Amino acid sequence: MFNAEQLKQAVGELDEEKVLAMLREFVATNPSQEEAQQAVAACQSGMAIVGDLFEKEEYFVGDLIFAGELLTNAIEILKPVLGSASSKKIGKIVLGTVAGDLHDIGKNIFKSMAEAAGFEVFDLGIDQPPANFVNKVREVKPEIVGMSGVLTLALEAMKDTVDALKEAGLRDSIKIIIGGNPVTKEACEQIGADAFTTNAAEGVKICQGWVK
Amino acid sequence: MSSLEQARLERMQIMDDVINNRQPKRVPVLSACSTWAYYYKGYKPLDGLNSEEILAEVTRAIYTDFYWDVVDIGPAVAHHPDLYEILGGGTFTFNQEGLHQTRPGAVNVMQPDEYPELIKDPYGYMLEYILPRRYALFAPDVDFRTKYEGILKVFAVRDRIARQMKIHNDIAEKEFGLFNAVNGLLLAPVDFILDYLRDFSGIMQDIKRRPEAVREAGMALVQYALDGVANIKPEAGKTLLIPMHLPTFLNPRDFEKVYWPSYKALVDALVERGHIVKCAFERKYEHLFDFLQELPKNKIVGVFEDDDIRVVKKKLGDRMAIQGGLSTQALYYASKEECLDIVKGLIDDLAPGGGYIFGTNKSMIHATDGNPENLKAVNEFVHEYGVYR
Repeated sequence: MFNAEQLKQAVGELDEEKVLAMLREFVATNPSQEEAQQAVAACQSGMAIVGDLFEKEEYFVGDLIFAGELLTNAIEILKPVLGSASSKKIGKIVLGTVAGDLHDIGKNIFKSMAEAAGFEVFDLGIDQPPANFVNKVREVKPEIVGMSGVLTLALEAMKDTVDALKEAGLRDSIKIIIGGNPVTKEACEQIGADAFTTNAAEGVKICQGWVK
Repeated sequence: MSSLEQARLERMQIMDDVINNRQPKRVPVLSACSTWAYYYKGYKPLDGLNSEEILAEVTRAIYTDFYWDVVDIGPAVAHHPDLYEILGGGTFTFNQEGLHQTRPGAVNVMQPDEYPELIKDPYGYMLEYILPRRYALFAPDVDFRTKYEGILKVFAVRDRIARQMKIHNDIAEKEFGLFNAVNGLLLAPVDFILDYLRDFSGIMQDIKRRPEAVREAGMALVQYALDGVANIKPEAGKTLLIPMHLPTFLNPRDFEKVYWPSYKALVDALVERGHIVKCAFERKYEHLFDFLQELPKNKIVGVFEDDDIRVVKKKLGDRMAIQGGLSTQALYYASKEECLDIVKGLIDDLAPGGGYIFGTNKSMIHATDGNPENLKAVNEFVHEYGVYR
């Protein structure tokens, strides 16, 4: 077995060597699926530490990008022993960068932090027209839609997407959060979203509040 | 001397005073009104890329309809889709309206274990490794003649771009008496690695796993960056622009370790050659203000995007001139009265003593970067209210 507290701390400190060494050692002991789930949970708690340190401005976006890489690598090592067991999800998020915008760093950070917090995330990708959001919402019936964008032209695309969701009769069944460089309170109101953030950790907290 | 030339020289003097921390005649109103100009006149940026007449028309329109003193960035664009078409690749992609963005996946063409090659010989590394991977035209199996003819075509497109820049600058200076404040553009060494070699995920992994290599590569690229602007002569009131990309995302420990050494060395070398350096501190820099205080005094113009500009004035106002203050979001979403309130506050709090350039916090690129009525009102207000009496 592994020391969950030490693993969690090592993820929180972004100590990649230590995290990967601990996990390799753990996998070599041929653990049960349940034990492997506990290792995933410890890594995810480590991500919560990363989020806290980000909010305290100890960590910055670059650290979050690396934390996402670290978590992906960690899960990769655990995959062979994880089996089919999956942890309980707290909600579904349909996520994408809106039409005309090709940026994905912020979206990906939000995705890895939301997944670590227990959400099932359906990532549409970048440059996604409103119809793709509408279709995915119809298909998976999420509680939340997350729209990302860096360029100011994304604000128009976000509004178009909200309007399309309204037209499809889906708006009232979901909460919408917008994120990225250009979003502000004024933009959020005009777009017709429920919340906005320029901070992925805060965004995840807002989403957690919605599915309580 | 014509009255327009007199106006231009007066505006040059204002910029020189602002940079040197002397009280100027008035707060200069600076235009970072880029491709927004096309939307303003009912065009798209693509129309201007392909027509000198449309470029000239929108240039005259924005300089007629709004008050300005100084031009930083105009509607002429330094990138054209034809360039990347001929080269067969590159890091940019253009949307249907003609706006360019970094193409996902296009940047990361350097392997992390190649830092020693880059450090040993930046030119050789770019020539041997990067150009062939980035551009189909430079692939090893392309024959010499094809490469040669392709390069000639690239030069022809670059000549077209240069002619567009000149059309814009001539209109601004000779028809409107505006002062063109940009002397050239370059990247900080570590941003070059980010923008053209490794991309975000790549450079963040490098910074965590091999920080010394990133730092040394930055130092090796200082001369490379200096060579790129070696032919530009320093001129009073004019600046070399460095748009800063990575630091806002770095914690201060990583910034100090990998980014600061080559950035500081580059700025010091440019200043030693007589240049004034304009750093666009994109997004937020408050966590790095202690470092910025070490930049050479009265040689820097700082463009601040999302920092509290009053805190900037307090912390850095005695070191550098400060540009910005009005967010493009406010300019687009707020009412005219709200915009005027914001701008009056900026002049009241930032103008005393000099050292302040009024402008938007970032370039106006898309229609959503400003409401014309608001822009007209704030620029006229600053022109009248921002006079030192």
